[in-house]
Amino acid sequence: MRVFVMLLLGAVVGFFGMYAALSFNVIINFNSIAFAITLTLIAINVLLVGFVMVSKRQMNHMGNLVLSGEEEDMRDVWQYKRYSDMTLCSTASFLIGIGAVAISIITGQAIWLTIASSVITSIAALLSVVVSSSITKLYPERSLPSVSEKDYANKFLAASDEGERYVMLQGLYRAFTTMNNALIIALLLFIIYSVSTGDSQLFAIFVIVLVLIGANARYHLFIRKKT
Amino acid sequence: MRTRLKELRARDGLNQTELAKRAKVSRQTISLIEREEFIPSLLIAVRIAVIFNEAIEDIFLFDKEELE
Repeated sequence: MRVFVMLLLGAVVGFFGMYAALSFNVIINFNSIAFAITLTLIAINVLLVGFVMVSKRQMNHMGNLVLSGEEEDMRDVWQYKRYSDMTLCSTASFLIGIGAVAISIITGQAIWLTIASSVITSIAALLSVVVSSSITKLYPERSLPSVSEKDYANKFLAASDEGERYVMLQGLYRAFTTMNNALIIALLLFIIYSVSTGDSQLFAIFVIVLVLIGANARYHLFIRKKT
Repeated sequence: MRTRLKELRARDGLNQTELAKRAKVSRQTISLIEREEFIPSLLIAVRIAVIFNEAIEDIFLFDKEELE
């Protein structure tokens, strides 16, 4: 009964959402705001890159301290959290950078803006590698793979212990389900945008559908094989 | 599952990092076990029992319902 009510509610919201989208005929002119958006994205990127660089220095400083007892544990907790923050920030910076470069090129912005966004994106990409490789310095006693090694992700998973794998599994599963839902919402937004503006987003819709099918097939076929 | 890991660490003057090194796991894993968020494998449980010179069932405590 609850599922039926939810389906009915979804249908009603979908119907009126589409009706509203068709009625309003939204006109979004990205070209007029592209410069400001690209500049904002570059500024965010500079902040993220700065944070990663400062954090790296702090990590090196903390790593050189000789500590024992509770302080040693607290240092490890701090380093682990800071390493996670750095990984997130460098990845976000790289992705935002790609967005900035894309907007800059597609909307035909000034060449200096494209170069600036490309440079900061390259720095972010380089930092991602530096941050990933810093884990071997964080735990020198462990035989963790180098980032340059072939099949790094699988080797890193294999080198992790059971507690770490348990945490990774929980995180990855949450990320997978969130990604699934987020991409479906993105699909709906693309459809609504295409209908309301008349600006076809069919290519993006098609790509997202393929990504969703590919990711889900990979997961479910892997599970199926392990019976 | 409840665990006496923190109590035993205090008894033997070990921090999480030292216990992790001896048990050949990460400090994060020791922390997870201590917070009772993760049940270790038999191998790690045995290693920890040997380090503290205690029986496994005296370190990792299960309720009757969990064992039935």
